[in-house]
Amino acid sequence: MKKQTGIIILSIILVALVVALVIGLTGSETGRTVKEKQIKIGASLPLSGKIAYMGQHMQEGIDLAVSEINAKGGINGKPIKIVYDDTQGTTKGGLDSYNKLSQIDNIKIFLSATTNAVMAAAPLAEENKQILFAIATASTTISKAGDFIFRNTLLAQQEIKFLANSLNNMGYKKIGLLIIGNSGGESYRQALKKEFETLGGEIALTEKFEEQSNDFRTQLLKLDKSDATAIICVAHTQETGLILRQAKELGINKQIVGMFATEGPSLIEAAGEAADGVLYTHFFDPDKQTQLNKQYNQKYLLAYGRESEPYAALAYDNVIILAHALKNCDPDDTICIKTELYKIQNMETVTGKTSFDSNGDTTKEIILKTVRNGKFVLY
Amino acid sequence: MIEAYLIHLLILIGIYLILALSLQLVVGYTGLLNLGHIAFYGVGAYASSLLVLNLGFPFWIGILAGGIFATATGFLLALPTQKIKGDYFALATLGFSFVIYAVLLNWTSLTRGPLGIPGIPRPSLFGISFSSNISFLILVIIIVIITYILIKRIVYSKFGRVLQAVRDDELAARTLGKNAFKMKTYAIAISAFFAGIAGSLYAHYITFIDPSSFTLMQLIPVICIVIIGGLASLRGTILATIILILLPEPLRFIGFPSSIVGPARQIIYALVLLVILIFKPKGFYGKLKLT
Amino acid sequence: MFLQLLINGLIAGAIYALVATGFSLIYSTCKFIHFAHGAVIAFSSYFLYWLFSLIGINFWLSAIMAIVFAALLGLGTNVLIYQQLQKKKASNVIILISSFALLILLEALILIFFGADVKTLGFLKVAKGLPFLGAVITPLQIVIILGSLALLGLFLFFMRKTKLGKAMRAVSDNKNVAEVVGISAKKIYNWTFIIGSAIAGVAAILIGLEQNLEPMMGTNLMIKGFTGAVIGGIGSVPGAVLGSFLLGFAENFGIWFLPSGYKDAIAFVILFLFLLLRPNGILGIKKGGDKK
Repeated sequence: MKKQTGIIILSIILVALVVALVIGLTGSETGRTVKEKQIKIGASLPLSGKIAYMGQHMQEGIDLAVSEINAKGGINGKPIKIVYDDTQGTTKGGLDSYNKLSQIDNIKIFLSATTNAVMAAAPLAEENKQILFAIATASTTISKAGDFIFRNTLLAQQEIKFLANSLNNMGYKKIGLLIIGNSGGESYRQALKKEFETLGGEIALTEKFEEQSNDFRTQLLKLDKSDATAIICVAHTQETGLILRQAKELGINKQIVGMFATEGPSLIEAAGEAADGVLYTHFFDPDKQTQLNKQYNQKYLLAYGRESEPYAALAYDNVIILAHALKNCDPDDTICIKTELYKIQNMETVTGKTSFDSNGDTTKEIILKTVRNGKFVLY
Repeated sequence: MIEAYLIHLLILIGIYLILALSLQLVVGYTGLLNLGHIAFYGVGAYASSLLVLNLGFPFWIGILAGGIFATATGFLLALPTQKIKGDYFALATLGFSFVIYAVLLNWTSLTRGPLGIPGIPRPSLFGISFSSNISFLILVIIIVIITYILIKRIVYSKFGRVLQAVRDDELAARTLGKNAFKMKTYAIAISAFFAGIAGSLYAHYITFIDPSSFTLMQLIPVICIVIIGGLASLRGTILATIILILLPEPLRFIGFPSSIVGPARQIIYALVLLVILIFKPKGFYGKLKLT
Repeated sequence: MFLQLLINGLIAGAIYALVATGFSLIYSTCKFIHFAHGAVIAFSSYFLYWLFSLIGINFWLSAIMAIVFAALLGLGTNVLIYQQLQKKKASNVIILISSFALLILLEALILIFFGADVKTLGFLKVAKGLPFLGAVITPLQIVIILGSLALLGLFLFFMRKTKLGKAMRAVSDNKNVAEVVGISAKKIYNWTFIIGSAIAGVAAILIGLEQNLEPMMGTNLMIKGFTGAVIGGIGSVPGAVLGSFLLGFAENFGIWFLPSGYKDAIAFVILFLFLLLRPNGILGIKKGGDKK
């Protein structure tokens, strides 16, 4: 029976540990007085797992924005404190993360990423009248997720409309698609089909790949042999890089087109010289660099030793936008914050002029860019 | 507010317990390493969600349907793999999970594919709405108790003993006139039923499901629970579920610097897991070896 | 077309074979599943990156050091974890779970040390492949394919002709009898890990060059390598290589004819049909590994 008592003791200790930690830490951190002295914002991000680079870039953007704001005295004299939690990029992880931040840390304002984590938390945030501000999530399901649910990204529908028009004007009528098989990819695919067919074009072939693939050769081969005159890739930065590289190795000459995730140092890292010539849509115009932009890029380089990536810039903006809304509100008054967010039109952010629509999604200016000699430039 | 978080944890423990007990039936008692078990969980979740959300059926039909559809999936898996042994069985079941995942992902007209199904309603049974977490927890506890009683009965019944005979020496069992193939099929089908129930509970709790929740990666914690708890031990399964679900929680409270929060927690989790294994090299209540 | 598809299949298969070879060697001798093998590969790739791309040491020297590192890391996992568990008579499935834990641990360490961004070794230029009868293949890909086959050849030679190889086979066939004739199973296990992990080191170099480095690369490679190894008969290294190539072909031919959204499912169905026809694996009965 010694073994049994050992196990029972072990489990009692563990349960007691959890309860003790929870009570102990919540007692000290979320006591009334401490809460009023800072503005706590929760960040549920994929900080580990297969999409860890997204979470990492976002965390870097967020930290940069917060340190800037706090250096200037915070918002109405109160510093911002970000409480991070790891969703691991899964749906359940999103729910766990939301619950912990909401119930233990009493967070009322959330930054969050990957569609599944956001969708797991959204109904609860909406019910509890908490602000959920998603970063860079692509799925169409988020638009209707709730009144308190916001999102900062380049919307798939907008991006594709612009892209379809551009490509159509360039004479590309038959398009091949190489799409990541997740909710973002599907949202893009639907938008692509709709926009191209509206303009009289045609989707000649659609090929998909699983998240975290690194071998696109056979899909590329199929696309090359099809009637398509251009190949649009919907993928993250590093996957787009590998696609470009493998396309070059296979000797594929068709024009390859990407989404805003194309622009980032990881692309050049993964593709090398094969990156030259890719076309993509983006929100950041290097020739129209505002002061804000220049400063952001310098600060990022200084803080992290490399150039900014798209998810970092978007996350940085999430914080700046929130800070703007919080200026006129009590941090606990989420209804006020919500109203302030919806009011935002043409706000100058790092990712261009940003406005919110009635769904809480952002609209931005879009431009067409390309890579020349390893540099991201206007097309 | 802390109580609210603990309730959330208890609900998860309940759902995983049903999943783990059902897997234990197949792995520990029948000797089949079914890596496709997660497919039953997924089918149960989707069936229940679609029936309740799209067709307006009441929850109790949804959850039962979840179990039944999962059972049907269980037969789909068990019948072709009846004669396949050992490692190959594991691989075939793994492949099966990929097939079901592909179906969930690509049959967009039914499942909405990768976009997932949002807005799954909380259960309401006999006019009582279970939308608050506490009431949902009570529902889960009731179902867990029923599951445990049923599985325990199965395991200690004649059928259960035959299963263990098949596990220990299939040839001998067959020599004694037991139709090993039929037994294995039933075991898988029964385990699938409970996994489907768990799937339905999960779907109606989290209110949003998508195919990414039903892959091999999601099954790995359950496999760990079954093995660490001790093969063929129901008590061990319960203990292991509680410990493994609670294990990462204290880690959320350690204030790591933001740049390493994710991996730091993983490292500590892995280390504690290794320590548990070194102290309990046969699992908590383990009695047997499975190759 | 067909030739390019064949080549695509060979490339994918060769990569899986590189993973499966070391893994299968360890399984056939030590009789447990070492999932952390994938992490040994990943870590060694990053080690190479650290030496070559960050510090600037000569590539060939870095590569050799990476292989040594891999061998030591693999040996470390055996000595520090698996041996301790075996001393306590842990069941094989417990060792399996411990290898998962090791995998998580090592990948998290990579994430902390190197960050989540993709890394390139930057040793080869990205260029169009060499034309070959209407298809295209890059020099690196040729090296990978030939390398995986050469590794197999070396392995067979080693197992048949060298004393250590024969001792390993003895332990693999029947550990107890081998010990009776004076072979130390413990030493052989260690040597198996050294050699198997050194093979992982070679895999790390080639795969790192071909696919770039990311923290979770180990997990993905391991799933494929494991599948290839089991298909070919998990106790057999030549089987593992064959199984890996079959997986590579099944994947590529599968998505050529069928929609690519089903790639994993198609590959498995093809392999599953194969299994139905040959339930003992491609290379026949497994050696000595089926005792319960």
